[in-house]
Amino acid sequence: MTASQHRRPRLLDLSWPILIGLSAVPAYVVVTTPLTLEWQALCGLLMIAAALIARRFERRSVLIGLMVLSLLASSRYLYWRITQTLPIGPQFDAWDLFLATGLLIAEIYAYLILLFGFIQTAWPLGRKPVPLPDDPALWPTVDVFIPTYNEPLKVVRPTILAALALDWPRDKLRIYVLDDGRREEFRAFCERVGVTHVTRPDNKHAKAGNINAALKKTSGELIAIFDCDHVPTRSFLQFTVGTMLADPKVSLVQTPHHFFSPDPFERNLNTFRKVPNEGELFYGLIQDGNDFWDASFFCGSCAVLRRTALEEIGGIATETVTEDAHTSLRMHARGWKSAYIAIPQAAGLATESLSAHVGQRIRWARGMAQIFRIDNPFLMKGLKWGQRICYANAMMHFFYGLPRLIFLTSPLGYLLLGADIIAAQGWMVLAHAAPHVVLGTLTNSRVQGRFRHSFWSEAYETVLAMFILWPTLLAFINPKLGKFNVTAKGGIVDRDYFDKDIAKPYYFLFLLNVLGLIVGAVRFFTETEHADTVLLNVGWTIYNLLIIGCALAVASEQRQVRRAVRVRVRLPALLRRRGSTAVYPVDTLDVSDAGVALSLPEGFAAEPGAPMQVVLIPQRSDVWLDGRVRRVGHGLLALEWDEMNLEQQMSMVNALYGRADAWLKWRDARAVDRPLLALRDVARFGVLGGYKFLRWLVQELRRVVSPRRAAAAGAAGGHG
Amino acid sequence: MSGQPDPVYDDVGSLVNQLGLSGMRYREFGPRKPAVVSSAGPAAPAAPASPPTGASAAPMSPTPPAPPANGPGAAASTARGTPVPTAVEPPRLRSVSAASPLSFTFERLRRQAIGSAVRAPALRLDLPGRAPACTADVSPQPKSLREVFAALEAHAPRRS
Repeated sequence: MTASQHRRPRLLDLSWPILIGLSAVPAYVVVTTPLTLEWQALCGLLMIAAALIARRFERRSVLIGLMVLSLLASSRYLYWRITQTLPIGPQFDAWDLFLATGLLIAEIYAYLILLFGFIQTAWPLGRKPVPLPDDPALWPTVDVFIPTYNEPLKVVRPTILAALALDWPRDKLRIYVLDDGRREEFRAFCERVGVTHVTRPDNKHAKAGNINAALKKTSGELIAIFDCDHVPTRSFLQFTVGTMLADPKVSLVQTPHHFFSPDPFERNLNTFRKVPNEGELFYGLIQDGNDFWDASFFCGSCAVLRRTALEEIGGIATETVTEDAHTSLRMHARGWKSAYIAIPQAAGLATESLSAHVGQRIRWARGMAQIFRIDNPFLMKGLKWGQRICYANAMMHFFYGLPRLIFLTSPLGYLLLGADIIAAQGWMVLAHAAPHVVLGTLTNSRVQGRFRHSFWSEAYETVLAMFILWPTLLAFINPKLGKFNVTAKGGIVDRDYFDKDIAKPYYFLFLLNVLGLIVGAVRFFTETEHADTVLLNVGWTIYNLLIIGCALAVASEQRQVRRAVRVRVRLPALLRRRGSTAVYPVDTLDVSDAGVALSLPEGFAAEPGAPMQVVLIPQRSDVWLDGRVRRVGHGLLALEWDEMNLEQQMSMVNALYGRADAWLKWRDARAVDRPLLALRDVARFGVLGGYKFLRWLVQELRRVVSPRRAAAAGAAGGHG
Repeated sequence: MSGQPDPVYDDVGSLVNQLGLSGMRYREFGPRKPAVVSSAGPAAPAAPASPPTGASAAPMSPTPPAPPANGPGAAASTARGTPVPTAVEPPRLRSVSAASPLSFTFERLRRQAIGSAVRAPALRLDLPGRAPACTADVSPQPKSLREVFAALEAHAPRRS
């Protein structure tokens, strides 16, 4: 595969502008022509029917047609909203106009994100790795940077050991642990394994400053950067560096951030490896789509950067807390290219608790808002228009806090306050909004289905909306507001509990929507006028209740059963009793830092506690790992590792994390998105979350009313 | 993931095949020491699990090469639960010779003369966990008669 094979398809040749020009007039007619309720309903149904047919075809051109159809429906809705539904006139007051304007702004925002998102993901590039020259003497020198600050050595150790196993000429590979914690334990470990421990006198500019300080002390032509908990596979460099050698203008090759442990959503909703997680849309589709526009950007880890490009822009950007995206934006503005290879070649731990997850997302949101202010991609010189849209969408996405909250509360404006937020008949609103919403959902399902199931975006955004609202707003007003916070990794949720601090904003939203639902039901049965409008708002409120319920379900933290994350993987292994010479070929069922589950050899008997030895992947390793039997039976032999020496640790890391194909198949296990089933799932979690919240609320109320009885009930139930 | 272990474990080849990267070449640089599994007694040469590649380079072919017939791939494909004798297995001659004190003595003397035959079990049995499973790695170390007998006493079957 050569670089020339990655040329963009014929999307940008002259036929497309001509086609767009010719389509402009009919599109204008479709968007602006007023229709009666019946004709609008028929028009909407036809559009939906066309979308249902079109989404069955695999061809990219049909998909782009589907996007155009969806945009037409959304544009028509928005045009109608702006021109015919604003509460302006003597029969409306300022309150109506205020709420209606808020909703309209939220809808315009959603429309822009939809539009930019379609452009961004219209043509994922699917770039393949480029082979390296036959002669390794022609390969560049690579410095591997592993920045760390306060993470424990047990988290960083696998990354260092895996970096040592990278398949690259030994004389062209240097590994540096950039320890901003300046810890003696790290220094000793680095010395022991033969990597360089780098420190600096201060922690100025956090991770960006740490890397910049190391850049001055090192000289490799390329810099591979791994977060301290992102463990690379041995093939990482050979699958990425070829792209940089093939095109000397490529400043960056980014690979996905893969997580082998469940994030709080996956753990608390039990959707791990069943439903795509929050990050998969970005690493599975958006970055690949960005690559088409030469706009894939640096994500801080699992990437290779060219030293000359970094030096040209003055090192890693330090003005914002998302230094990674900011750095690649500056490199793009200088004419450097980037590449994205969507093959997971490193993996790490997801954030353990919801509060840590929220903290990480707050940082990202704040940083993107800072970049939007400091180096706005629409205004920055040197960028191509595709790059402007991709970067702008990445940044604007994090402004969803306010729009999401507006969507979650708008029907209450009508139901509880009697405000006319949309000055139109209920059925007319439905006739215009339904094609907009349904086509958007169907098209996104077709575009994103492998990486994000329908309706899950609402759930993910709802959880975070309240928390990123102020940071983004403050950063937008003054980019200097805010500080860098390190994402906690390697911890453990050791009990079930309801994270009431995180969920607090959603108590009120949930209760408000419950109140709105009750009032709406009463109004529906008692009022004779506007029953359709009441019904529409009641339906909207029910949907909002389910989404907020889903957020509450996520806030109900589930205890981690195991201290170490077990990776389900079938690897060849050899098993023997310690001191025995009889060796059994077996397969692993799962492996972790703490132990291993093996297929039980036929006729093999062992007592719990019996010492055993295992070689993982004997074709590549001859190191016996010591362990003791924890459990035996049902075709399974579970061992707990004894304390390992360095050689054993390295063997375990290489077998578990270092395989080139270690994380390849993870996506394949998931079901394809089917919007109605996804809605059912989200609704189920919504009901569950609502139930858990109400149960917790009753307990809290009992505690207030009768502390003794509540304490006794709590002790009996064991609910944290 | 199949139910049987791969005869030749090749993670890079698997990745390349699954992604259809037919033009991709790959080089191994790290030390690769397959576990050694032999099916013969102490004098038999040990066979590695798969051919060590060192810093070899080859285009990734869609089908991996066939495993060596006497390699661990073959061992791994044997019926589950069948113990595979390894290079660290002590010789079984002891139990036979232990029947007669005379032959016992001659046998031990013969072993002393052929140092390599007695060396492996005497050393390896004391290092159960972390010794490399390869007799070839152990350098010849002549032993005094006293040491040999002491080791034999320690491991000889007890007779009541």
